[in-house]
Amino acid sequence: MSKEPAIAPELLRMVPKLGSNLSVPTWLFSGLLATTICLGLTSAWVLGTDHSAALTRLFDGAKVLLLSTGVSLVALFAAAVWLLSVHRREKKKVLAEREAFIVSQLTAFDSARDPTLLLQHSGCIELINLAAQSLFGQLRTNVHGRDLSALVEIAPESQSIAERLALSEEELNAGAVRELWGRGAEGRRFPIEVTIRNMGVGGFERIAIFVRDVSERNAAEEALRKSEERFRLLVNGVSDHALFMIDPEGRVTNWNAGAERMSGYTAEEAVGESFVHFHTEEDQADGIPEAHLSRARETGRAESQGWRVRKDGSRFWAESIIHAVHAEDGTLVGFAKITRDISERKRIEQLKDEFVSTVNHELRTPLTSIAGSLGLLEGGAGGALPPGAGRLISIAHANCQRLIRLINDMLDVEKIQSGKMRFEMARIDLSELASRCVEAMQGYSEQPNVQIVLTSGTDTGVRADSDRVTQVMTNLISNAVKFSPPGGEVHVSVTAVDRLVRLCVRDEGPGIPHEFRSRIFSKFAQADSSDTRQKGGTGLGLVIAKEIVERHGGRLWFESEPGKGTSFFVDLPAAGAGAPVSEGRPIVLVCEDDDDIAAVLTQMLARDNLVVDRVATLAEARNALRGPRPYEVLLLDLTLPDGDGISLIRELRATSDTQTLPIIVVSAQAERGRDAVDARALNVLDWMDKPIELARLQRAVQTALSHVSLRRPVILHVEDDHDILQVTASALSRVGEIVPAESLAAARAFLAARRPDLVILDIALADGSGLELLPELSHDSETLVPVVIFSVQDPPESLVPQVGAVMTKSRTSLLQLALTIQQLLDQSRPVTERKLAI
Amino acid sequence: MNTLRVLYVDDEPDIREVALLSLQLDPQIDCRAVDCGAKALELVRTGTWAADLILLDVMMPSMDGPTTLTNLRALPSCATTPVVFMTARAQGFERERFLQLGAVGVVAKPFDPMTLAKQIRAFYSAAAGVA
Repeated sequence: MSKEPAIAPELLRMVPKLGSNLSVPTWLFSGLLATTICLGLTSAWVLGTDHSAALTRLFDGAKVLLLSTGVSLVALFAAAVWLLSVHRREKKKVLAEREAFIVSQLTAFDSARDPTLLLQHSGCIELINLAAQSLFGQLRTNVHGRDLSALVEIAPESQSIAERLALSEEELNAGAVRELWGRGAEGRRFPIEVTIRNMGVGGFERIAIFVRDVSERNAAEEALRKSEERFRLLVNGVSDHALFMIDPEGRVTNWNAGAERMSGYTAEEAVGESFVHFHTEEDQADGIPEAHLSRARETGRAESQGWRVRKDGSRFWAESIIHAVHAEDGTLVGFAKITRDISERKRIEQLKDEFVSTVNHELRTPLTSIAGSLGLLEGGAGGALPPGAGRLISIAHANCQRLIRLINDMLDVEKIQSGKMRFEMARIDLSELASRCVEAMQGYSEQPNVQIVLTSGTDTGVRADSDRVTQVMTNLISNAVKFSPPGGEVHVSVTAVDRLVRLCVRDEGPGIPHEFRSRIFSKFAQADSSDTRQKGGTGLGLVIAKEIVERHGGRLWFESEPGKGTSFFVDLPAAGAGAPVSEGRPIVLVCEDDDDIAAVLTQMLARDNLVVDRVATLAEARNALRGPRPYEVLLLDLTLPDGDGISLIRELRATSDTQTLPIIVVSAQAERGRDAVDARALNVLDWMDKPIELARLQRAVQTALSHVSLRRPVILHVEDDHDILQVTASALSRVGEIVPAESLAAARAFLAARRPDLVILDIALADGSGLELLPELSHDSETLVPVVIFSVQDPPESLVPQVGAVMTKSRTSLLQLALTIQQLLDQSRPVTERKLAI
Repeated sequence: MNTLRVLYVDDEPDIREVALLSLQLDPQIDCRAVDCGAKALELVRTGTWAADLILLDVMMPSMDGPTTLTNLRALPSCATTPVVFMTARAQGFERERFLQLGAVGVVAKPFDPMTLAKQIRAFYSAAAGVA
């Protein structure tokens, strides 16, 4: 079977035709050569004779001449025959070579991926390749001999291709590119890019046309152009938002129609100006615009509200968002700023405030008279009342009080929601506040049978607004009293717990029904709609209490057992700075310089019952980690006042104690930070961008804690060098429990007693090779124990697949060893956990 | 208990009446009520009846409570008389503001009629104690 590629018959037909042309000049050459030799010999003979005896010897001479001519002719003929045979052999050889060459060329032509056409200069199509067949949807037998205009939209065959495409000879030789339309089957037309060039094929000049179908590229370009156009129109057309770009130095680089309309400056006037020009002089003097820009530079984004100045000097109240724009390599390209004129919204807010204030006053005025009159009547100031009337007056008075509470609570909710509730923070003792509150409530308790019992602890100082905290306490205690059975007790306690001060209000009431628990903190929620009337509540108290507690950085939560009672807890951050004990709860170190973000993180982590220690600088973080508190996780910001978080991670990874401390990066620069470094080597658990996603944070923290809260893995280290055992044990102290075995015998003794989670093997031991243990560790595939060979020598290749990792002592750092072991444990543990579950 | 003379200024006749009744629950309180700041100033200026304490409503049409207070302070006979505001806007920072204006106390509306007199007496004693 031939290994040559199959060649199309159309191509083979061209080959002999091209070959036969070669013989013409060879024949000519042969004839000329023979005649020249013949004439030369004759002339030599004639010139070589004596001229004086010429005539006398003419006759003899003629005979001799005849003879010699005959001899010459014979010789000539022989020479010609010889020459011809030589030439024919040569010609055959050359032809065979050329044929092979042309066949290979044409085969290549035919199988080329790019559609290619071969034409005569007139435009007559000689050959098209397979790719061209499929592109144009035409069989080559159908287009052979037809003009190029059959396949491509060009003028029909009146002129040469060069003339029709206006190509010079130079362009043809060098190859010229043109964009044309191709004709497909059934009248379809499609854009093509062609490269046209002269090409010698088998001694003939042809024109080769290489075709590229550019429909897709054109479509993509068109789509991009349209999208850019749409985007430009969108940006420019947005007339109620000023959208503009600022370069890293703070100069405006572009300015949309909204910006023109809002500020009165045209794009020509604004571009190139510093963006601070659009702020008020006071703000400029205070450096407020620059502060926003640097905040955006640091955190990626900055929001602000403030006065802006129009070209005519008038002012408007605006809301702005600045986003830092980074190039792919992380360099700052500039900022995108969106400004909205919210003067109208501000005006409406003012109207609303006035309305709320008016309603407040207008509702309270008649209520004051009503409540006052009813109070006086009920109190007997109007004289003794007949029993029936007294009862009616009591009802009217109680409901009047309820209406007043409702108005107060609604105003509070409105204030909280609009962010207008102000807190006068001061250091207060929660125990003291509770005792005053309990004292005040004993007298006013609606159910005099209910006793309020207070237990207070020490170190219960918090930073809080005492009025607001009193409001929360009053609400919780009055709820507890309301739901207590007659003769029941309400226990109020204040204790210090870790870094928190905890207020607990416990009742002996019916408990909170399960179906109601999820709704307990929503507005107007009451377990039973009849409760509202029965208990005299507004349905807003807990909403307000929860908001107030959370605004203090605390937490309001409850535990309830139906039939037994309910406990409400308020946890407020302790004012004292002493590090409290964690009572076995995991401690998380948060290193974050922004107070708000730190508070959010703390609150998020507190939900999972974690203890949070917060530091704001790298130096503080280093100190904390060196200190006595056993941190399980580090949450780290990357941009900190005294340096870069990445440098701290490197330091921690290079220190044996913290080599495997789980680290979660929480930073506006997280993505870029991860891309900028070899993230794997730092072994960071997660790189989280701000804003922080609660679920993701919880997941990451849980993953981090699962390393420690599960049973610690047991690692058997078989090694005869005592020093190596020690350093390895210290490097792996966070990974698991290290059991040293200084000999094969010791290792076997341990293995007989229990299965480790992983084995580290040295090869050369005093009583044999560590490798002897391998079969004993893998005999049962169900409980395959991962093995790491940690030795100065390499094990035989055949054993490598049986072990988890081979690490050569001199070339492996302890960190690498720790990471590898952690990885192997992570891979193998889920299997064992599953098995245990069955 | 000594007689305490209270000058009470409120534009709302109903509230004025109820408050008056409430204060009179304490027989040792001698209370005069007027319906605007101007009348209060007039009464103080004539000097016929010197109040020990002045109870001022805050929101009044022609001359509001704080303005009345300023004007009262300008009168020599009333330069140190303790003033208590009575207002519907008695929460948090608003109360702070009234105290900064020189009031010795703030009574929230709606008030508790049965304890109003006791409250007023408490403010008076506190102010007298300080003075």
